[in-house]
Amino acid sequence: MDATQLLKGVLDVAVLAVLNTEDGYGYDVLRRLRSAGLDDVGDASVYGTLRRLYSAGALTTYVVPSDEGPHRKYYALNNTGRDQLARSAKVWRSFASTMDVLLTEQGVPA
Amino acid sequence: MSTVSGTNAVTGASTGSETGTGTTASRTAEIAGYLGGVRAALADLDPAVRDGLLEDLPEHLVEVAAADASPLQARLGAPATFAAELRSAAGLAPTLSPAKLRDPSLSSADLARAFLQRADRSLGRTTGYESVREFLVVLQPTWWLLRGGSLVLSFLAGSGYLPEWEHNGGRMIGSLFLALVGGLVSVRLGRAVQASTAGTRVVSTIISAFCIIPVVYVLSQFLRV
Repeated sequence: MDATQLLKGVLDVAVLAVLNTEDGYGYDVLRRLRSAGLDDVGDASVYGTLRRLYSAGALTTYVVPSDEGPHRKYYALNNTGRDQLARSAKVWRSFASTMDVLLTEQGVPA
Repeated sequence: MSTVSGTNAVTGASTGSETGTGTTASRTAEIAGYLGGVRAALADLDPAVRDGLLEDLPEHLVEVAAADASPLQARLGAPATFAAELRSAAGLAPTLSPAKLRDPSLSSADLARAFLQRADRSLGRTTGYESVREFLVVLQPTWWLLRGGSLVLSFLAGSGYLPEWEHNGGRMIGSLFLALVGGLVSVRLGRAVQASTAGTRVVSTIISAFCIIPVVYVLSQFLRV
């Protein structure tokens, strides 16, 4: 099965989750997702997801100037974003455990 | 606006190379070229949407270039591919060029959407705005005010309070004041709904559409007087 197709549906949750622990700029969010094991995640997908979550009012931004490069725009969760994360995480966990049970019950080896 | 921030970021990159963080002049040109390619592939978007989408892309590309010595295209794909992925992740409809419109595999829904997008933009230009949608957004608070005020006035008319008002200055001022309060509450509600989930927005739009009834009723009453 193609992991990139699955990823499309859950990228919102993944991005929100990564920002839940610490605010981050676009490249930083991408790096954290990849080091968490989502190797297939694309730059444009993460970047577009951040912009969409921001337009939807789930994220706030602030700019941090940097001496040694361009300024960095940090994204942070607001209450809407935290609510969305809590709701989506619940949906994902229930979905994942349903799939787990289904596969186990049908005798598919792990 | 994004052009300005883009220039800043690219300038920032060249400053970075001077202080030794590793972006050469050719790299800066490469970043600018890539950005131009992505921008061109998004040319059909509403300028405000496009600028929002590209707002911090320059700095992102500088980060990518600094972390990865290989050419940008090798890591990110062609600018058009990047733009298509960006468009899809940002929840925007893919572009349909005139050539693609003749593709027989397109569903009638795709064709209808492309037609509506085109009509939206060409009709919008007659108002001096980018699209009809953009023009309607400007009118939105007026609708909220009208719907709230009309609901209050219709309610007052229904409860038998309003018919007397032409002969009663106190009631007239009172009714108009209540209508204004209703209108302002409705504007607050409209703003709150805008910030809520997609489901709430759909339900609210359906409810709001029914407000056309009190609005028409109140306007017809006023025109008769």
